[in-house]
Amino acid sequence: MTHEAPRCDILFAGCYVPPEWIAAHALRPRRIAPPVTHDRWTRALPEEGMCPVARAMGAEALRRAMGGGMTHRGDRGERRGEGKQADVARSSPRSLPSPRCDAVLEPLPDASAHRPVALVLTTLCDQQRRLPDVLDRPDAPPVFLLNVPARWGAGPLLDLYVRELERLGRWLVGLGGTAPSRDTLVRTIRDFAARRRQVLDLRERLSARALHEALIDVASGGSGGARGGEVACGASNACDGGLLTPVVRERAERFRGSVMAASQPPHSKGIACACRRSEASSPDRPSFPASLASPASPPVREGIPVALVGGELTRGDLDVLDAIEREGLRIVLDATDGGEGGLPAVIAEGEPPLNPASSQLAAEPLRALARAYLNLPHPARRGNEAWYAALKTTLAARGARAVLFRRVPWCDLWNAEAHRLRAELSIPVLELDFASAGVTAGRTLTRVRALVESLT
Amino acid sequence: MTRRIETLTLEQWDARYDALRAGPLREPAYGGPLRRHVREGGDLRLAQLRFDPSAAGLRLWNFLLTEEDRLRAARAEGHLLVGAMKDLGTVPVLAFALPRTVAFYPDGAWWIPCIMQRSDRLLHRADAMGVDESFCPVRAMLGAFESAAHFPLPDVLLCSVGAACDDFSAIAQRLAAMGHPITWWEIPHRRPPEPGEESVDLPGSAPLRTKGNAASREAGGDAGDARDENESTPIPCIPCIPALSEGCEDASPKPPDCVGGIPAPTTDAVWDLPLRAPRALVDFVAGELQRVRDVLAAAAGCELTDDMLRCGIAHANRVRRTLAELRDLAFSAPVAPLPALELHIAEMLALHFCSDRSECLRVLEDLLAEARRRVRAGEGVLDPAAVRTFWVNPVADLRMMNVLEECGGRVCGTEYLFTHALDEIPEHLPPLEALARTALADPMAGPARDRAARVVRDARRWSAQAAVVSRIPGASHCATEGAVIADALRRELGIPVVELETPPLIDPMLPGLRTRIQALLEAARDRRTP
Repeated sequence: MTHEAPRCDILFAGCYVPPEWIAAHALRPRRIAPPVTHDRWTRALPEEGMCPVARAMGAEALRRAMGGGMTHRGDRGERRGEGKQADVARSSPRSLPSPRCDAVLEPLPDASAHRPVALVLTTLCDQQRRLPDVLDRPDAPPVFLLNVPARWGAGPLLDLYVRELERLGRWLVGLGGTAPSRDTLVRTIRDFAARRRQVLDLRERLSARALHEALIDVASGGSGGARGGEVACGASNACDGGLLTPVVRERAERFRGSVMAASQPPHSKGIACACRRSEASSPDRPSFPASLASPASPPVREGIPVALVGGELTRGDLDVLDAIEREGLRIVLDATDGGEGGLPAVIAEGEPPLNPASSQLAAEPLRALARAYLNLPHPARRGNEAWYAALKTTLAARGARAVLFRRVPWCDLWNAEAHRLRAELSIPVLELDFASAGVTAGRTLTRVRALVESLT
Repeated sequence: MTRRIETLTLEQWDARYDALRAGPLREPAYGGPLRRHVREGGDLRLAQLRFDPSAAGLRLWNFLLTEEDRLRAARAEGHLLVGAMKDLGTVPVLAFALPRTVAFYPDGAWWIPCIMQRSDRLLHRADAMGVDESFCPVRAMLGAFESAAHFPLPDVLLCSVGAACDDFSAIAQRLAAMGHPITWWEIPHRRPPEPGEESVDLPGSAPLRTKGNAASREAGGDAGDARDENESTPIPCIPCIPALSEGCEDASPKPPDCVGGIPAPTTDAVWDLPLRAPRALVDFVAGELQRVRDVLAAAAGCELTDDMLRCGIAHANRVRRTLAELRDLAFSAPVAPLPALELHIAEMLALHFCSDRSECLRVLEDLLAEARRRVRAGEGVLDPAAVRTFWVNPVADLRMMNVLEECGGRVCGTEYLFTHALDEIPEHLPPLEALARTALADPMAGPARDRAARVVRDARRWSAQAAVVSRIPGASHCATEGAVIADALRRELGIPVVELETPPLIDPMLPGLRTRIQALLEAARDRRTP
């Protein structure tokens, strides 16, 4: 009997790493929506000047490389006596002073959940581009830095991007992947396109959090989970516990309820699981004040239509999405990197970028894939007029009455656009910095309430 | 026996200027007393600085502080004004190769809040535009464009993006949105070549010409080198370039055998710094620079030929060689012949020649001549026992360079984020490829470990006993690379290092900054061999 080596999980972030390409190499793409923690891996990275998202990404990579799952410090962390936070958790595990659930999650070695991991980052922002500098340590996973052109355009920029994807492919093969045949790549691209479309077809029936998690889930499901257009739960990041220890998984199962069940189509188990987990995880991870996290919150389908604009969301941010929608807003456009804003051509409400019927896809699948991703408008591209045009079009199409601009400390590329957004859009733009600690979350909701009041 | 030359305050310079005027002082058209820049230009910070007392130093300051006048004069004469942004040293070489064309860096506005002690209100303007103090002080550029009061708005704007700096990229995008059209050109992240991938050397990687080790490098190299060697051609005869400082005696002393107990390196290997890039990346950047060339030629209304570019490169190299000699002389002399402040400004001139390429060279040659004279005479501006300190990153407040010296330090080696503008551009290559290699050697384009390696090499070369990593407030690259550089210096050289942040005006933080520098220098002194 031979034991097959576990396949490598390829963690990635940003919207210019095509998960199709990773999955086609028979490896597991894992789009990370990292938790913001204060554990030892996070503390190993610089705090000042480093955006919390990049820091969380780095910490997550270190944590996963060491086989660390996530568990609640209140369960086991206190026995390990790891300082002040453990004391807080021990004294009052259900009334934590910080509403940030992630702040009390402590990774524990979990050999059973351990798979080798590697990390793919892009050069599009300095925070990611420079992350390998601080991950240059023995316990870090292998890191690949994908050169993504910042300049908006095609021609030599597309050639450069294709060459970079080819280089990524060689790296993946070095990690145990298999170079895909053309047919395999085409099939994988079509699978991903179909699964994205399935999720987007459900958009109006999903809460903002559920949609975001489902899209993250799809980007993480290229390891064979999609069969015949069906989203298989087993391949899902949200469902297979890839980021969760058995303890948390058990809790999530316990809290899975019937919320959103009506929106669960019979063929989309993975999506439904994501929906249920998102609703269920609030009690387990009390990241917002308990009074705001009431299970009796109104259905998400109601509310004033608004758009969410910003970069990557952390796992803690997703709780804020729930709370925002409970305040009477309905996020009809998630234009963040992990949401619709990170999907090729979706923000422009255009045709699926990788049309399965396209002859170019069959003839040059890698180039077609590269073109689809490189044509994704993003505020970090130069110039970024295409992103503004796409955003305006979609805001109008969705009837958004305001924009929630998610501000992250040290994220220059996004933060610099807030002022311009106000100038260019004819609807209110509300800046929210909900990626920080619990006090900020309270302020965020106060601002949200004021917006609701002003729009009512 | 050394003679100490005292640096001067602005008030002392008034008397000094009168004394010089009474003698054989010959000033260029932009000359005059330093005080007029305070009185007429609002450059209030000058009153807080200490200056080198030489005529060469005066010329340097006057050249720097009259750049806006030069740009306005160029505009009045119908010259094409090119605003180069972020690449620091590459685009001006192309622009100055064209007739009736002047290039400058609007980035330089980052010093305006310092020089004018924030009376300019440029940072306030940037604040009001949503670019607050979480961004690098280069945000002053945004205010400068909006006010249009500091430099004439360029006819052409070119900005490098990609592996640059998020702060700058974001601010430049805001400029574009304000209606200033920008031609973007891509500088990709410099990655190391993969095994078997064709690669080429970049400027800065060549071994330093000491102890006859230049030949050793020639014997090395891999397949990627073959193209370089095969394509090597004699440096073209360029009639527009005057002979290079012929007859000048090289007064540059060799690095001391032992300085402060730290043995100076004795092997050739320490001068080597492998810095290579994949051939594909170089070709890509050359393609981007071809776009830049086309834009410039179209704006200037004339062709920008390879011969013109070679001439431009040769001119730039002459400036770079002069500056290299000045730096080596100043950093390796037993006693500092020039203050750190003037040396900092001299280095900045290499970026775009302060809008006048020919005069820039004369200013630097003047300064070099003064430094040579002082070294020969055993004169210096600091105590011979001053701690030899390597300085990393440019400072937003020039006063900081004075503070280091007031605390008992002496700059012996710098890395102001534009070493690629100091290294000679290869003259044996097709010009765009040479410039592409130069652009890719930008320390900001590659990983921090490359930058750290260069810092370590140069700190070793000039026998640094301590190092300061000066963080730029808000700069995206400073979050991680400072620690990488500091760790490398401690690990490789065992010297004490501090990281500190230099805001546009250090006055409110001066006590703390001074204390940290003093502690650093004390630690370095304690490590000296009795």
